Amino acid sequence: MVERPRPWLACTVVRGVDSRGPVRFLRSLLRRRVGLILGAVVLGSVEIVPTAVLPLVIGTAIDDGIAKGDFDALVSQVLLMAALGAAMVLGGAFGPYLSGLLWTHVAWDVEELVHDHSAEAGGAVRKRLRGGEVATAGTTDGYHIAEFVEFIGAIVGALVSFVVVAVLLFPRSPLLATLVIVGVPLAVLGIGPLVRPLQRRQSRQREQVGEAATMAADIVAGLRVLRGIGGERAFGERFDRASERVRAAGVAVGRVDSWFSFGEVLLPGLVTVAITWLGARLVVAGELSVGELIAFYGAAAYLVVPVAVTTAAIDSVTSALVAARKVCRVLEIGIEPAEPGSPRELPPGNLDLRDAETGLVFPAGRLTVVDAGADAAGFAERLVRLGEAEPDGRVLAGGVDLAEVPRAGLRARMLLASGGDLLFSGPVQEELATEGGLPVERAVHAAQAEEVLGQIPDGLLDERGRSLSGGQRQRLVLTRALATDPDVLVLDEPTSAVDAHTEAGIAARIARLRAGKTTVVFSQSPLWTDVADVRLRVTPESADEREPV
Amino acid sequence: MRRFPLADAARVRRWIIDTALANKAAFAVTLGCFAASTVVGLIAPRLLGHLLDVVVAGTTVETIDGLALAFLAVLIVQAVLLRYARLRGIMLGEKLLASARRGFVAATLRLPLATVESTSSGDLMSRATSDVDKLDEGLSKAVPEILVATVTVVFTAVAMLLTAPLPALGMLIAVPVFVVAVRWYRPRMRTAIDVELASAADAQAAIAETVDGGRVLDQLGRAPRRITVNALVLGVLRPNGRNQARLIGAFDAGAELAYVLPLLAILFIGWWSYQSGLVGIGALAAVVLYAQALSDPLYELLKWVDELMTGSAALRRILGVEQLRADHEDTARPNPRPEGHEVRLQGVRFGYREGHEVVHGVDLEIAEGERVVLVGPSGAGKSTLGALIAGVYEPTGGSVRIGGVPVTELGLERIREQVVLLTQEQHVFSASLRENLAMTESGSADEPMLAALRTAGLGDWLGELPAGLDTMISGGVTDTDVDGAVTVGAARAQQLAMARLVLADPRIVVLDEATSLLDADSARELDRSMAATLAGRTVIVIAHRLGAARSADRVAVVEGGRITELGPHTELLGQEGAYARLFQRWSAGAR
Repeated sequence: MVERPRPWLACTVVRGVDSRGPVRFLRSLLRRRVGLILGAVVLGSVEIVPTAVLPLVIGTAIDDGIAKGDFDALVSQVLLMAALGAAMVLGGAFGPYLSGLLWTHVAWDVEELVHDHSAEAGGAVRKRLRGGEVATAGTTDGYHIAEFVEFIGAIVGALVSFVVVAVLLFPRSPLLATLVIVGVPLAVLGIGPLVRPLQRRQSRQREQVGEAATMAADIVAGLRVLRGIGGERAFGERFDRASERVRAAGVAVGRVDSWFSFGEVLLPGLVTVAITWLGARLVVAGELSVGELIAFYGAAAYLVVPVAVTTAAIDSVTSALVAARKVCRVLEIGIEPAEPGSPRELPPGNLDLRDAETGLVFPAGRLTVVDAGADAAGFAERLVRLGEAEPDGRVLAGGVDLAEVPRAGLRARMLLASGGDLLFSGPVQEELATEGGLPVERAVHAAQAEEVLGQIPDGLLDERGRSLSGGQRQRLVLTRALATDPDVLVLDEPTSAVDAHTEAGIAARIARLRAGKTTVVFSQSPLWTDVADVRLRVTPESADEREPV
Repeated sequence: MRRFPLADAARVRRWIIDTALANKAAFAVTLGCFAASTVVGLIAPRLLGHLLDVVVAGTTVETIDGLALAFLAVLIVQAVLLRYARLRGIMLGEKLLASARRGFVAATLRLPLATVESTSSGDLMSRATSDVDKLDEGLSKAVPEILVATVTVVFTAVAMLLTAPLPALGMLIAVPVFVVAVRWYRPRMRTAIDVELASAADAQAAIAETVDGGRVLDQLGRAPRRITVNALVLGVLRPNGRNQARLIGAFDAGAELAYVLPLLAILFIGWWSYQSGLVGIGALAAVVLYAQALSDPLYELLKWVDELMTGSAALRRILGVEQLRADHEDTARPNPRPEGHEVRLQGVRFGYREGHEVVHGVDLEIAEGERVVLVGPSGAGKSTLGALIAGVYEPTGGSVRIGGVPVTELGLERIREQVVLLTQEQHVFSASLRENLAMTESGSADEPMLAALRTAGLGDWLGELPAGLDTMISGGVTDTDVDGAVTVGAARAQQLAMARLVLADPRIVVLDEATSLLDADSARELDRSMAATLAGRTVIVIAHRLGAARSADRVAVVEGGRITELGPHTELLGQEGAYARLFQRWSAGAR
């Protein structure tokens, strides 16, 4: 297939889930749980249909049993009720159980999709979205989707019960039954005009809630600054204003929502009144029994349930769609860099690097130290083709354009590590070791990280290695990079937070460890230039400004 | 990493009672409307019963029409009352929620720095976002629903007893079923919910870490490994969810039983009562209808109690933060005014954990206006010393005094007038540049802000911003400008922090690798432009670039939690100790 790589649109189907739009996304998500959904639907009906039929049985019991004083008739109706009750208990046990299972699976399916896609997409997700935002998509938005899915059983149960009640009522009085069959759906539709304003206000409310949550997260993340230098009051007040907006948006929802409740009571109620009024007239005319009137009254009153379920369902569908859109925003981010159209492999052996933009050459098998000033980070990323390359940012490794090499091939041979790289929480030994790489001890020795390892309680790194100092973290990042032992190692300011004494030692040891392999270090420290085979400078005019410390 | 505590039951109860009392009137109105609406609603079955009685006795069409009109009136009044009650309920819920949210943020903003540094940010983050969300669900929906349901249940029961006391007793059969179900269910569910909330926080933290470390995963080919780590978290969440589903299933079965059993009982008692002439067919029908009408509110009650439990678990997590001791705000403490600004460390000892001392008795006197540079290997305790001087931590032995007063006795405002600590990691708030700078009241005028930005070397950058000081900025990995949203990279964030420092105008400044992420040229440039601002202030610099040491009045070499060499740069070079050896290598590379 000849297709031009479209970096952030290329990926639309992640693990069999379609993320091309909220509806498609929900549909493909549901397809993965078809069995559970069917089970929830069936058992949901088993619970709700007997509830709907019960008024009819009660009507008969009063008519034939109590009013006529026929104990046997009463007993048989009561037995029927007991059977229906048993079905209700059964459905009550397994319907909600399956719905609960659905919730769990769908919610955590979304988490898994969001997390795993973020893991596989490389740095692409972080470039477009903030970590907190993606975390919310993976959890809170997943809950909203799961709530809708959890509802499916109840929705279908409501519809089925409606049909069953209609069929059972019809022979007793076609007139009244028609009133129920037409009246109740009309009552449901009657609430319809409120749906749009409600949705609008709800999405505004969600927006405000999201804004306040982001702000709270921002405050938590910047707490050091606020506590150290001040600003608690300003940010507290800012949050209060955001919180006030959330409240106002919530009340705005409440105004429409309360009309919803009004309609939920009034409209089906009108149907009930009509039935009672008409029914009583029929009883007087001798066309209907008292028990049947009770049955119709009970059935019409019961049908408020499907109405309520339907309105709640509309609610949950709306928020599920909003949530699905947010999840899609994460999933649609393509893996970077996109795979080349006609892939080539890197040549075996030592590789030299040639950068077209600067014309610089990094010789194979040597340690090159580059002073690229403030441009170092972008330059280093270009050298290993971390993201999508700029049109004129071609880099050749061993004569092959990196843009033509598949990602897996690139990563197997080349590695970029930056001083600011993140350390993942968990067992530190696992974090440092790479299968098929160097023994960790040699990497630890080269990065002078022995003393850092000794300081980590129980050998467990905390979140982002936060309890370590910047210099200690850099030495672990360096250890991790060295242990993978790639053919080409690019280090971007690897020791910027390490003290000079240690830095000098690290530079010397790395030079020894990497002898004979291509290594590029972006650094302005004299301690690195001291051990370099080749020294390069990106902007020649800056050479003279260098202080002869 | 430690987690924040959970508030205990007593604290949650007190919060609920306090909020209820503070909103007495609103509660009363809401409850009153719900009650009125319910009472009116209960007239309907009575009317039907009456209708049945008159129908059985034989009646005219006119009577039926009249009763139907009464029915209609009751319905409309009920709906209007309910609408008003709901609106009130939502308004009340939103108000309570706003106060919980604000209370949480206010408490977070009071957390001691030492606590912030040593506690999981993911934990706090999930409390700020998903727990507040869950509480929202609990307060704005569950509270009104539970109010309606409770009111309905109580009034319906009363109405049943008034209509036909004997058959109504049949509903008592539901009581033992409910008691057993609730007692069995509640403690199990609470545990499951606590597990869920904590693990969901882990899941959230896992995603955030994965996203922020995305490029590392890409470079090292570690995506599969990371996926396994997340799968472990899900390995707790999925079975826990299954367990919750089982609990709900069992409970719902109990609820259905509690619905059917009373109906059966009422019919049997009704038969006997009717036979004995104790109750008419109309009253009996009304009681049966009431019993049926009970099922809905009862079910709602049970369903929302669930949500409320989630809400209260979330509330425990949110209130847990408020439980922590506030920082430097203990009013009982003396808040003496320091005399002068000299810093004096006497026999200072400190350890983050019991038995792990990292600073072993440091003595150091820094005169007012002096510039001291701390150098030494990573992990030697330099940053800890800096934090101790800034009053972030309390020494476990000895004392740190500013102007003769122990730093830990200074009130928060006073300590900031005196000393500001700037570390390597800086945060850029997602807010306007102005809001990012105006950390204090005094620093909110335009001119000082512009001057501070120029001093921090951000003058040119400011010129490029679309809306100047009012440009919205946020933090990021690199500097970008996409769709007018300006992202500030780590290095520029350090410059921004310098501008904040200039505006804060403290007497003593601790710079802990505060320019380490800038390239050497920019760092030197920044040093030069800051020199004028810092002149006359006491400056303690922790730096790995030895260039910084030459301009210091004194250099202190910190090794293994002790100061091993101390003196002016040239003097230390003359001593030919560790510092001298290091400096020679540095100079060699620079040549």
